[in-house]
This record gives sequence, structure tokens and C-alpha cells, in this order.
Amino acid sequence: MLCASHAVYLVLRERRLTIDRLPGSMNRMDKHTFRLASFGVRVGTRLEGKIAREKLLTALETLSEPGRLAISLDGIEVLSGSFADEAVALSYARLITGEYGDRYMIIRSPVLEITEDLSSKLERRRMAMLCSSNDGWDVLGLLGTQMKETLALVIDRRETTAKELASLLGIRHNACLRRVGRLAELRLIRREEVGLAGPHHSYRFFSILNP
Amino acid sequence: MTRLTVKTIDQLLDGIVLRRSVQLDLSSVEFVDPYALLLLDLAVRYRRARQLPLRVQWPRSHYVCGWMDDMGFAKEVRSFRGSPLEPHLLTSSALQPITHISKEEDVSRLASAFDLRLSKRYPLTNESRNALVKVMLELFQNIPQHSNATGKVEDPHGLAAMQDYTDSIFLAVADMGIGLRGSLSLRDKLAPISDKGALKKVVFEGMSRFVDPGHGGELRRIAQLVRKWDGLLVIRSGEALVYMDVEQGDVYDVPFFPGVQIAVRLPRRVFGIEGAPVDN
Repeated sequence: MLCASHAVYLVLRERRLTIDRLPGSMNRMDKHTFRLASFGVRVGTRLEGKIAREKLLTALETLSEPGRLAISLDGIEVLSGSFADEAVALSYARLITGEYGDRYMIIRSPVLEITEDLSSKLERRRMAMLCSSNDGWDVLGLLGTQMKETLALVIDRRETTAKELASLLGIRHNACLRRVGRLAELRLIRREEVGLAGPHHSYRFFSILNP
Repeated sequence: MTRLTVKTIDQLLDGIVLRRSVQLDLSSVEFVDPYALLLLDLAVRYRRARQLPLRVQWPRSHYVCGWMDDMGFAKEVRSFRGSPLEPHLLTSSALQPITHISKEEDVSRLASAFDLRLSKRYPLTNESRNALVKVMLELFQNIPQHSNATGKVEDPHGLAAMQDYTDSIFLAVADMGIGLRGSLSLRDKLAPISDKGALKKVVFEGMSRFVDPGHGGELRRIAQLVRKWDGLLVIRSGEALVYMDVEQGDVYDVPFFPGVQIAVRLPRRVFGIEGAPVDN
């Protein structure tokens, strides 16, 4: 026999879980922080990076979908390129293959200077990653000006459509679809199918920085 | 020769490596920099490994002998059959003695130990300390990661040392491994490559032995950093040497020596050091 309060709790929990898994509820995205400083304040070698990567990917995997893992550089004094590549860039490379489903990663750093070597590694791998800092946000790695402009609009609006973006950017709908499609492939924004618009799928696009 | 430095050590190396019997006369030497010290250390090991005799006349200068001893050189060449390094009475200004680097697990600890030794001598800005630690992390880990990538080198003898001068901080890192040519040759399409070609590809193009684009680029970034700070960078591998300072940057032919040897000299002002001059 369940007591009344426990039964209510279970119903509420079930409802909450259901709500959490509802598509389109970006504000209910499962959000966690992974602190890189737990591996030392000055990191480090590729060997240390490999150990960090295993833990980082485990943390990513345990997120509910949709989910976002913020890799915090708070407390880090040195982030070497070798460590950054092994721990972060290689994890991100796996994320953008779709291996981890509807999950995302961003960097959170008090200052941008510390991310220089990570940015260089992402660039070499032709990838880009969002970084939020005390000064706002930036893109680490490689991303063209037009793509960055589109990304900025998605972040600014938090949730939008290709039609709205095309109008704001003053470009054709198809061109806009290509841009947001690429941004979604790079895991810089979240794309969600909301139905059909004629013969095509219709999508909404969400910022992963401020869901 | 009165000065053993990045600019003069190759003259000496030529003789040590090529001649079957050598009298190495260092008696008039009055100054040795950490890069020359590490190369001298490795050259002695090179001769010893090949059972080639080498008779050394150590510097007459008690101060230089003292510095070499305090830098751990005497201990390094202890079992070598040459005349013993003269005992010294003076206290030298040796900063960071010769340190062996063999395992990647030790790299972070060693970089921190180097940093601690420097910061005990001077109050350094956090920014400069961290930048130097980053340089050390990359240079140190290259030894376990690359110097014996073929598995054919019995012991690549990874070494590092550091010294401060009136105007600069000098870091030297050296090994006797497969060198940059040996490393890049492991990439299929780069098999017939010269030392000069390998050096250019690594330092100017950021290439590594891995096809994976995430690997490599560290030496290129260090070169950019050193240039930004108006410092000096020397990278020697096999028969080629890159010399980069504020005025010039080019690749030169040098006598063969196995492995990779690196000198990084950074102006003291980069570290915010205003203290009393120290020289050896």
C-alpha cells in the first residue's frame, strides 16, 4: 500500500519525467557541469587528457536527453594543447558524430585566454565549440563569419525558425537552412523536428548556451 | 673556445661525434649555457655507448666548474673515464640542475618542480609562470611520446635544465632519440625526408608523425610564443637546426647528432622580474 503523499509524489515525478522528455522543452534540458580542475590546476599531458576524456564521456552519457554538459575551466591555470585535445577536442569529435544522441557540450571559462590552445586544436580538427565567459560568449575553433552571425541570432532569440532567421539575416530560406543545418551538425545549436511543412520537415532551432 | 653556447657547441660536437679518439679541451671555457651543457652531457653518453675514448680537460674556471657541478653534470658523467671535474669551493648560481625525463606520468610533476624553483628565486607574475609551464609541459612530454616512437632506441636520455641570466630565463630540453626525421618518417608519405625538411614541417607547418590533425602544432605554437616575447628558440635535430630570434629565423646545416635538442631563452621582463642580476 502506498501512502497518499507517496502516491502523489510518484505521480508528480512521473509527470516531471514525462515533461523532461518532451521534445521542444529546451528549458528543461538536463544540464550538468564537469569541472576540469578536478584533474589539476595545470593540465597537462596527453596521458592525463585521456583519463579526463573517459570521465567526461561518462558524465555526458549519464545526461538525460536533451542534455548539455558544461565543461568548466574554473580554477584551471594552464590548459595545454595536448591535454585539451585529448580531453575535450576528441570528446567533442565523438559528440558530433551523433554517438551521444541529443546531447551537447559547451566550455565555461572565466577568461577566454586560457582556451587559446584548445581553440587551436579544435581549429586543426575543423570543429567549433561554444564558450561562455564572464565577458559573454565566443566560438572556439573554426567557424566562418556568416555562420557566427547566424549562431549569434539563434543565441539571442533562444528559440527560432529558419523562416524567422532568413528574414532577420536577409537571405533566402534555403541558404538559411544550410547554415542552421551545419550549425546543428557542429552541435552549436539544437535542431528539433516539429512536423511537416509541405513535402519537407519543419524544424525549430534552439540555443544551447542559454536554454 | 671560451664560451659554450647555442652558437658554439656545434663546433665541439663535430669533433666529439666524428673522431675516433678525442682530446676534449674545455680548459679555457668561461661560460656554458644549459643547451650546451645538455649537448655535452649527451655527447659524452654517445661516446660511452660506442665505447669510444674521450679525454676531457675541464674548465680552469672554478666558477664554471662549480656551476657545471651544481647543475649535476659531474654526477651525470661520473662513470665516464676522463679526468675528474675539479672540486669547487664557490657557490654558483645554478638554478635547475639536469633532470631526466623518461615517463609521461612524471611530466606534470617535473614542470611544476621547475616552476617552483624559478618562482622561489623571483616573484613571478602568474601569467608568465603559467605560460612557461605550458611550454615545459609540451616540450617535456614530447620526449616520452616521440623520442622512441620506433621502439628501437634503447634509452633516448631525455634531459632538461634551466638557468637565469641578467636579461633572460633559459630553458633547455634534449634527447638522443629518433629525431624529427625519424619521427616524421613513420608517416607513410614522408618516408624519404631530410632533417632539414622534417624540421621545417614540424616547426613551420605544425606537422607530427600522426595523421590525426589534433596531434602536432605544439612546437609551432611555442615558436610563435617565443617570437611574440622577443625571445630565442633553437631546435636542433640530426643535421639541421632552426635558429629564431628577434632579428632572424632560418634553418641551418649542423654536424650530425641524434635526437632533438631545444633551447628557449625568454627575456626576464616577460616574467615581470626586476630583481638583482644573476649570472654564471
